[in-house]
Amino acid sequence: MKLTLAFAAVALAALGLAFKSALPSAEEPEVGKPAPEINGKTWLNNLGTDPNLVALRGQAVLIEFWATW
Amino acid sequence: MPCRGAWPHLKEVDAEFASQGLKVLALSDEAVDLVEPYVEQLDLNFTVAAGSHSSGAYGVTGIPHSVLIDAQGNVAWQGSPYELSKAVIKKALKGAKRPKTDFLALHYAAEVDARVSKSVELAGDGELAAALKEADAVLADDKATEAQKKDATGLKDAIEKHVKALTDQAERLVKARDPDRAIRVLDGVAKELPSSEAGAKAKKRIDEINADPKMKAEIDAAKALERLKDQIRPLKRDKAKPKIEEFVKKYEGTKAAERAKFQLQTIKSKG
Repeated sequence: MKLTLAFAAVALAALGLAFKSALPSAEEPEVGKPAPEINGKTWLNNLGTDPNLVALRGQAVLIEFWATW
Repeated sequence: MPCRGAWPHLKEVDAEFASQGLKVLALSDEAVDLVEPYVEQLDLNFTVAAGSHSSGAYGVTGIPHSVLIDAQGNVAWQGSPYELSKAVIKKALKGAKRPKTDFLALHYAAEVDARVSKSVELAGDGELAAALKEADAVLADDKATEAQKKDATGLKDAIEKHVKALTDQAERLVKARDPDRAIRVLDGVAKELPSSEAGAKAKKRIDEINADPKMKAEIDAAKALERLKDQIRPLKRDKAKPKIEEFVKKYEGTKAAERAKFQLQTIKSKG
């Protein structure tokens, strides 16, 4: 019985881990680590090609997340 | 409301640091038909994205939220835009450079032979004429391998497409009654590639835009609006209002007048 319980606990823990990794990460990127690539469907006030962080390497970039509401 | 409040701060940051190599990008996950009128009315200078899906990757749980990325591409700072200090920005700008005319720059992602990499680098700096010259030198070299020539041709094609995309963009700007920006793009192409067909066409198009009375009216109105803004900045609302009304009447039908009209509405709604 004890063994079964222990097994169940391990199985549950494994399930929990698998579940967690399947969820999209809601964590902020670490300071000092490479910034995740950005995307946008339509770019306004932009001359030239759509901006991306690879092309902007060598410049500092300030990203602002915002909404109209 | 908290989102709107951050714009003056961002505008200030953009005005002060853009020339030192800072690129400001404002990302919204909303649709373009919501975002565009807003950007228009607020007269924002920096680049804005609509329909972005980046907030997940950045773990954004509340907005406005800012992330500062240094010149090496690493996250330097993140948090509320109001808490971002100039000292932090200056630190992230260490080693940053500003491309001469950033819209001319072409980031060519394909892997190329080392012989063509100089040309790719030049294109990345917006030095399109020099990049084309380098690529042509490879093509004219009897000792260059087939693979090298193929890479050089690929890059040349990409530059040609890029220039075409830029002139198309200029036409879209003309349609959006933004001749000032359209001319800026065309002028960049004309000056970078003066002896090419695309360069000659761009130059001709600038003359056409300047000769178009409607476009001229837009340019004049946009300049007058800048002057008006300086003029009313120190004034109280009741003193500024008649000046804006006068402007709207005088430049009726232009985009600048529409922007001024929006200003008027915000004054009215504030009472």
